[in-house]
Amino acid sequence: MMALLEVNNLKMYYSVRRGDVKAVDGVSFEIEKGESMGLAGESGCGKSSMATTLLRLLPNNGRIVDGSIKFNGQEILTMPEEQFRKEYRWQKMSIIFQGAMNALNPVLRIGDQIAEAIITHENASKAEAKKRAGDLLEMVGINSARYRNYPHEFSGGMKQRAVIAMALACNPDLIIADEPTTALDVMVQAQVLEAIQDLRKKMGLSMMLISHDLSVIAQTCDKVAIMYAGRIVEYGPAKMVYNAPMHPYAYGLLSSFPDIKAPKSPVQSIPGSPPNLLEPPSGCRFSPRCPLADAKCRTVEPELEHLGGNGHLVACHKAGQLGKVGERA
Amino acid sequence: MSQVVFEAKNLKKYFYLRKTLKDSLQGKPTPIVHAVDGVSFTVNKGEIVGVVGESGCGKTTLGRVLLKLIEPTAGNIVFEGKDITKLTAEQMKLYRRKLQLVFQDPFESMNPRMDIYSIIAEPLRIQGLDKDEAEVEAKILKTLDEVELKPAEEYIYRYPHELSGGQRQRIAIARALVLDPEFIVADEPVSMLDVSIRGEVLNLMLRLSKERDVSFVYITHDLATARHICNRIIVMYLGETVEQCTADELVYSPLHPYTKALISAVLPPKPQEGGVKAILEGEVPNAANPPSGCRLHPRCPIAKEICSKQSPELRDIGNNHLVACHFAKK
Repeated sequence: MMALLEVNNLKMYYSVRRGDVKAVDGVSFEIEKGESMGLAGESGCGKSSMATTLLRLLPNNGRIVDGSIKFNGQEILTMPEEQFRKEYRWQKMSIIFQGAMNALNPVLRIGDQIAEAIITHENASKAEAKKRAGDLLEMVGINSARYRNYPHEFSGGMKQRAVIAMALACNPDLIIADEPTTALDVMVQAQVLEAIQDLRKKMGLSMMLISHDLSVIAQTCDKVAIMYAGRIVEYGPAKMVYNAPMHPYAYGLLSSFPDIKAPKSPVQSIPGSPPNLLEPPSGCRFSPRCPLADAKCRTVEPELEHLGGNGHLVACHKAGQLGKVGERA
Repeated sequence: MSQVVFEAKNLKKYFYLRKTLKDSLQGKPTPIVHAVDGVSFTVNKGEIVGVVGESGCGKTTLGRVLLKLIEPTAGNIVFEGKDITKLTAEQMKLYRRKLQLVFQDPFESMNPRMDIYSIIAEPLRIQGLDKDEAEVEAKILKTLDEVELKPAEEYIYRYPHELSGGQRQRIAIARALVLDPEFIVADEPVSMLDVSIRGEVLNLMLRLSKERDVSFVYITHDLATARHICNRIIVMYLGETVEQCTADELVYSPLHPYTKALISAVLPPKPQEGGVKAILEGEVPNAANPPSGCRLHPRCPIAKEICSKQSPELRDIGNNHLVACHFAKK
């Protein structure tokens, strides 16, 4: 079976004065129809760059160096921009940008902003677009009577819902959500995640959810990819990665999330900080922070390999020896 | 019995907003934001007390009032047995050595043109404790060592931009520590940091409380981390305390519906059956116009008629477990 989205060895670099920042450096993954994948990692690991690359919305200094992105089997990386804009962006894949709820136009009515997305991308009449915008609001749990409200009349959670409605405007197959709940309070976060889950079920949407918060991904995604310094270090079904992480970074990151119901214990951390992507460390990029690293780790870069079975992939020379990290922690 | 270092008694802070022209003509009263509305608690020596709530619940205002960075509207602040509520800025100066604050944002709270030495020496200079230069340097090195920036000599002449977020936040703690304070208010000290380094800063606070008997008030929206480093936790909603007890009791037997909802909204770190379920509907209402009676009643799943009419008192239901709910039972 063909996956809905197939990314292969994707490399995207930003050129800056001092060289290339290797934000996405050889990333491969697949998203099946109806599936949701979480992309997790710390700030600066390249996860948001991944999102802008998929939609070909790179800034001027960003360039795709290598790799391919196939959507339903069709290569979309080399397609002319005009065709991509008309047929793919927003119609087939759309995005909820990080902080988009603060980017709503303050002097336009919420409903009209959603209708605008429809008119821009489809040959819909104004009246039709307005009607659909009202339906979209209802779908994300906002009374369509509030079509004529302005953004300042909406609370944070409602603005985020409106932004989700906007991403759904053209009935996309895939939705990319970049930190959709980061700016929200925990209680509102739970409400918005619940709304996203319901929508996915109803519409059979595929989703890529980007977040630094592993617990958000745990509750919403079937599959997870953990990114570190521009590369995926562990990838597989969420249950397997969460319950039996094999990469020391994935292990460390997962244990940094305290479980509120667990007995009182010190909060775990990973010493050191993520590397500079201008000159990533040689060998395994996590090796300077890794408690298991040896000479091989510092010279030979590990490939993402099938180590766990059932589609559980890990890029680590020491993948079988995690017990030792546990002892240290 | 441990010794009480700090006590807040019925603290209130109201902000008076400006009336619009229309409201003045109609003779409406000045709108008041009840940011902190009658909060009382004590902090023992070497204890970490968590203040938890959503944005807009008044937790940051409370932190500032505790240190008299803003004056309380009513209530008393008692530090080491002395009421410091009415002290003037000049009289407070001596107490400032003992009472310190760590801010949320390690990128904004430091002057980018000052090196680490000057940043940490500044409190000493302000307090007039910088006469002996060798002593100042030794003190700074010792403090850097204490916040685990080792070797301290390597960090002392660097600038903030050369350090990572976690390192900067440790500089912020070092700056608070250099005066040997008894009491530190930490306002969201890890919310700007990456997950993998949050633990370092939190465990540093934990260690300081144990080894140096420094008392902390840890202000946060993150109940999960508060649970693991705090002895006691205060849950705030719209300026009021809704529940106050030990961290263990709070997570294992919460009594207030708001606390229960807050705990259930904390997502488990591993995949679970059933996915996310939100318990409370809606969002925190405007603090300038809070609901009557119990402030939670419009969102509360168990609200009855009495809740909209009568504000529940914060009562002790045994074992120093305080709850403000008409229906709370042990």
